[in-house]
Amino acid sequence: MKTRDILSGAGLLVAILAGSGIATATPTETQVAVQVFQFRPARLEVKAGTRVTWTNGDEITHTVTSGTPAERAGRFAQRLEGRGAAATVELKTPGVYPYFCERHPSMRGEIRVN
Amino acid sequence: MLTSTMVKSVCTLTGVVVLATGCAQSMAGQMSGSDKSMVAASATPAASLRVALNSLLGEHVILAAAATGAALDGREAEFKAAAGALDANSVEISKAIGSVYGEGAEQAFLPLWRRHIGFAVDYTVGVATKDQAKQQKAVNDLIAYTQDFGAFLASANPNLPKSVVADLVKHHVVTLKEVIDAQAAKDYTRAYAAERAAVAHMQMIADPLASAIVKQYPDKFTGKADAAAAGLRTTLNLGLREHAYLAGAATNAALGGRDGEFKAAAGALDANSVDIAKAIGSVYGKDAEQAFLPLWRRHIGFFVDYTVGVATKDKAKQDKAVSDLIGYTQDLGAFLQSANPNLPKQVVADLVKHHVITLKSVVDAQAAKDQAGAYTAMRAAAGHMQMIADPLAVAIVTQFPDRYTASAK
Repeated sequence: MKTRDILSGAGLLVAILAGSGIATATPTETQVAVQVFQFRPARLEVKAGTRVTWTNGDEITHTVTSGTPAERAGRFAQRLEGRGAAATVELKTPGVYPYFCERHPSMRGEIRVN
Repeated sequence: MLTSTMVKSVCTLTGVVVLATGCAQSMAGQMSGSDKSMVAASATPAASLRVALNSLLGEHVILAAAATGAALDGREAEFKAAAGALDANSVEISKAIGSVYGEGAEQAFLPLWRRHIGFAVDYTVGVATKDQAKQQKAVNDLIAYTQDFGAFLASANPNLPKSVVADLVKHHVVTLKEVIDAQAAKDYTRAYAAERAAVAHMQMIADPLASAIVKQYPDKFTGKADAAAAGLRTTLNLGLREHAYLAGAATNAALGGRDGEFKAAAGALDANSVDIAKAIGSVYGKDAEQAFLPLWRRHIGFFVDYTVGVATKDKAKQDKAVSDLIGYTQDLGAFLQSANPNLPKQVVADLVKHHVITLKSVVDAQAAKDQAGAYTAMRAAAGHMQMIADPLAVAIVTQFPDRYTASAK
């Protein structure tokens, strides 16, 4: 996955099964809300090729940055400039993708691509 | 009429909104008929929320000031203990947020809240090392942080505009900076005056926060956070909590041989006594205020005697001071019962006796240089004051229903 895979724009909301704390989305597009300084859902499981869209619900800039604060993966790094801002990443390659917010490093998320 | 059972139904300080709400409901639950509606005026979940938020945020400032004061004075062991107590307070504030907005919000809030404490530490280090650049960066970080904090609360609650919250938190930063600057200049009179102002300012954050949450969740937090009875309960809680903390600060300075700081802390403690007397006067009139103040001051004098006895290892002096304090609890009990028949003398005396015991634990830990134990005991002593403040508020509201119940619902 390279930054060229990143697409902007809003995606289509899909059914999310969050009972176990891990959301599973079968369609090729899914969304993550950024709300009250949290990624919701924080953990997501998708199929390869899924486009994930983050939408900022907070009145502050957040980022969606791949890796961890200690070890950035360099796969994607998007800024969400205030409430309503959105960014989409297409995840083509299976694997586990942790990510975080650069401005608020305690905000963490993870996507498992099957 | 309140019963002694009701007065005994005081609740331990929770520091956590959900528990504080349960505490208030428990108090109200022991009333019946018209009494119940009167109790509800000061013991509604909305009122409990207001008290809990004010107590926690006020304590945040007091413990932060204690930590920076110890750090700037090179008292490393005490700094660690104060910082530990401050973090425990942070955890409780986060739990209060979590009790309203869920575990996810609690987990998101705690690191955000801790960040501004880290910036304040940076500022203190900058002041201690006379590093202007470090101070300026810390101030800039703190100002930027106010935007984050405002965004968090605005996102959680649409009744809290981001810019308003950010401005209020900015003022918190400014008031705490004044405390640190005065401590660094060893101007302890100014430092304690600034600390009292910084603590008082937190009500400007806690009160709107409580009202906004009540507006957002009216079914969960029934009653009105801004009701006169809720205001009375908040005032009594904050005044009595501050009394415990300032007393602890004064004895700490005295036992540490820091005469200048002791005098300043004792002065602040007396200013708090005047405020508590005024609160009594606002209910019972000027004569009662003037009668209360010297009575209240007496127990502080006995505590000074006890502290001197501990410092000089004079067991006889310690025993006499404890005896005087126990005797004093009867005086205060009699005063309050005379002013308010809903407050049985012996019940009040027992509650004040517990205040004496908790504060004695603080002094003993300070004398033993058990800093962690001292801060734990101080938090417990401050927490215990709710056991006095809450029943006092209920009794006053019951005594003057026209004054305190009109806007309760």
